[in-house]
Amino acid sequence: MYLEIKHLSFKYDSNNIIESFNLSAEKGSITTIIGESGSGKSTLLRILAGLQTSQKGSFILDQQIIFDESKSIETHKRKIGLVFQDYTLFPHLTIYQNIAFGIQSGRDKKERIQAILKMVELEYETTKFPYECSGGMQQRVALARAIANQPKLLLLDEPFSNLDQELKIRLRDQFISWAKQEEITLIWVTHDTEEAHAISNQVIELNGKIK
Amino acid sequence: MFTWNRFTKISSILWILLIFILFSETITLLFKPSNENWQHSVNYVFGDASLNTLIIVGFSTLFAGILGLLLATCVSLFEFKGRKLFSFLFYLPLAFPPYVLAYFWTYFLSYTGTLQTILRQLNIPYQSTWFVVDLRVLAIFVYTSSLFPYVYISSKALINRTLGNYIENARVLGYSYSRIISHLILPLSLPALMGGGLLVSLEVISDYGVVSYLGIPSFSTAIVRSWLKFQDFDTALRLASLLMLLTLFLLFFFNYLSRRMKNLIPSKGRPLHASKLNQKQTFLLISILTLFLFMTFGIPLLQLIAWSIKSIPSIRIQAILPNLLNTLYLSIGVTFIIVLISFVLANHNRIQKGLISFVSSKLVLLGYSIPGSVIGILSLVFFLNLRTIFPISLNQSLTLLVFALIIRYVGLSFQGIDQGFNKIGMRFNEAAQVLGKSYFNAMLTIDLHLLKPAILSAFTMVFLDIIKELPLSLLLRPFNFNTLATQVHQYANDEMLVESAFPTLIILTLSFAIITILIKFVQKETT
Repeated sequence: MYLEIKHLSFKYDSNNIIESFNLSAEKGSITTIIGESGSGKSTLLRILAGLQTSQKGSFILDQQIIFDESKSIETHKRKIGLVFQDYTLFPHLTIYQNIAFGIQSGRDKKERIQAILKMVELEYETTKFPYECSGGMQQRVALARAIANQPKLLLLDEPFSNLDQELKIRLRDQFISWAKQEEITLIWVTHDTEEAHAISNQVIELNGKIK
Repeated sequence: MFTWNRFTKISSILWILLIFILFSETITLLFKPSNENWQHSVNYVFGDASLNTLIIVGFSTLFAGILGLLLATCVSLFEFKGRKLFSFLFYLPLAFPPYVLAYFWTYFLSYTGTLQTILRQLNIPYQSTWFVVDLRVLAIFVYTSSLFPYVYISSKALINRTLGNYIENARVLGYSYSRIISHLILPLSLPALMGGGLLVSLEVISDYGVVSYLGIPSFSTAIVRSWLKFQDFDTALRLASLLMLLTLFLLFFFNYLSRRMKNLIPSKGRPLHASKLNQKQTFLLISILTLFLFMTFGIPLLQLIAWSIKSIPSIRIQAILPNLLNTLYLSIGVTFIIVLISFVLANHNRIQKGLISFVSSKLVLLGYSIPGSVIGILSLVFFLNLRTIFPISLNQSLTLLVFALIIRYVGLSFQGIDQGFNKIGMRFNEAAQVLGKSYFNAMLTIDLHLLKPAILSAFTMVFLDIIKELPLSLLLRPFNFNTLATQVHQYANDEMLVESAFPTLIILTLSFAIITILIKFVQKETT
C-alpha cells in the first residue's frame, strides 16, 4: 500500500477524539472523510501533516515511516501538503510569490510555476495580492500552491466550503482532474455526503470517534 | 541538536533566574534590622510621600482616562474637516517629557512668566495669587496632558475596529450621541481604558523629574535623595521595596479588573463608519479640539521654539552634540537589544505553552511596572554582587545603565510583540511548514513580515521612553556621560530654562519623527 495509517489515537483533555484509526490508500486515490463538527476531521489532518502529535499509532507513506512510537519526521520534511479551509494565503506575497513559496530553487522552477499558473488559469493575474483576489481566485491559488510543492500526499480541509455551489462544483472537478494528472494522493475532509460519494474511492464517516 | 525552540526556552529560563536574583535583594532586606535614617523616613517621609503619590497617580490616571476616551470617541465617531490631522496630533503629546512641561508651566504661571508679563503689558488688572497653583494640581495637569495618548491610542483602536455594529444598532434604536457615549462606548471601552490607564499609572509612579522639580515629596524623590544626598543606600533600597510592593498591588488590581472585563471585548466587530457633522457642529468640535491642543501642547511648544530662537547666540554646539550622540547611541542601541530579547521571549511564549513560558511572560512585565529609581538601585546591587564573583568592575561603566534600561523596558516591547504574535496566530507559519519550511525559516520569511507593525510599534514605544528617560540615566550614568534628558534636567535645575529649550526641542523633534514614521507605516500596512 502507498499509504498506511495504523491504530492512530489522539486525546484532548482526557477525551478520546480519535481512537485507533486505520486507513490504507493507493497512490493517486481519493479518500474522503465526512463527519459532524468537532468529530476530529481537522485534527486528523493536522496530525498527518505534523502540526499536532498523536499519542499512539503509526503512519507510513511511500514506504517511509512518517511517524510511529519511536520517531516522527518534522512537518517541513514530510512532503505532505495541506490546503486550509480559509486558504491561508500569505497576505504580503503576490499570487506568483505564494505559488513559488514552497518550490525549491532549480533550473525548471520558473517553467513549473508557469505551467501551474496556466493550469489554474491565473497566468495573467500573477502580480495581484490575495486581498485583490475574489474567493474563487484565492481558492485556486491555495490549491496551486499546494500542488506546486509536489507533495506525496495532499490533505484538503473543506477546501471549497466558502464558495457558492456553481463555482464549487466547477473548481472541484477541475482540481480533481489536475490531481489525477499529477498522480497526487488526496485525503479530503468535507461535511457534504453527496460530494464525498461523488468524488472519492473510499469514504470514512466520523461520529465523534474514528474507529 | 541546538534548535530555535531550545534557544528560546534557555533564554526564558535565564531571564527568570536573572529577575529572581535581581529582586530577591529587596524582599530579604525588609526583614533585616534597619538604621536610624529609616526610622526618620518612616516617621516623617513615609506619610507625605504615600499620600502625594496616591493622589497624583489616582487623579492623573482618572483625568488621562477621561480625556483619552473622549478624544478617541470624537475622532472615531464623527467625520469632519481636519479629522485625520487631529487623529495624528493627539499622538504627539506622548513625545513631551513630563518634566519639561513641569519646568514650562512653573515658569509660565510665575510673576516673571509669560502669562503675567502679557497681562501687565496689556494693563489688565489681576492678582498674582490667582496663578498660585497647588503643586500637586500642577503635577496632575502635567501628567494628564502628556500621558493621555496612552488611553487615546488603546481606546481609538477598540472603538474604530470593533464597535461599529453596536454603535450603528444604537443609532437605529434612536440613541443620541451622548447616550451612545455613556451607555455604549464607555462600558465597552473599559478594557482599553484599563490597559491605557495602567500605563499612565506606571509612568506617573516611576517618574522622578516632575515631582523632583516641583519639590513634591514622593517615593521617587525620597529614594533618590536617600541615595544621592544622604548616601544611605539601605534606606533607599527599603523605600524602593515598599514602592515595588505598591506597584505590584496596582498591577494585580488592574489585572483583576481586566480579567473581570474580559467578556466585554467583542469577539468579532465591524469597523466604525464615522457620521458626518454639519457645518455648525464641525466648527464647534474643531474649536474645542484646537483649544484643547493649544492649551496642553501648543503653548509649551511655541514657548520652547521662542526660547530656542532666543538662545541661538549662546548655543554651544560642542556642548550639545556629544549629548545628542550619546542619546542616539544609547536609545537606538538599547532599543534594538530590547526588541531582540522580547522577540525571543515572546517567541517562546508562542510556541511552547507551559510553566516556564507563563512565568517568564509575567516576570518580563515586572521591570516596566517598577519605577526607574528602584530598577536603578537593584541593578547597582546586582553589579556589586557580581563583582564578588567576577573580578571586573562594571558598576562605573555604561554597561550598568544599559543593563538597567533593558530590565526596565523589555516588558513594554514584549507586550507589543506578544500581542502581535497573538494577532497573526500560527496559521501562516503552519501553512509555510507544510510547504517545506522549518518553523524558524517560516518565522523569518512569513511571520517577521506580518509582525513588522508590532515590532515597529514596540521599537517606537521603547525609543520614546528611553530618549526622555531621566531617573536611570541620572543615577547610573558613568562620570561625564550626559544625555539630552540629563542636560535638560541640569539646565532646568539651575533655572536656565532658555538654555534648556534647544536640547528639549531636539528630543521633541526626534520623538515626533519616529511617531510620524510609525503612524505612516502602520497606515500603509493596514491598507
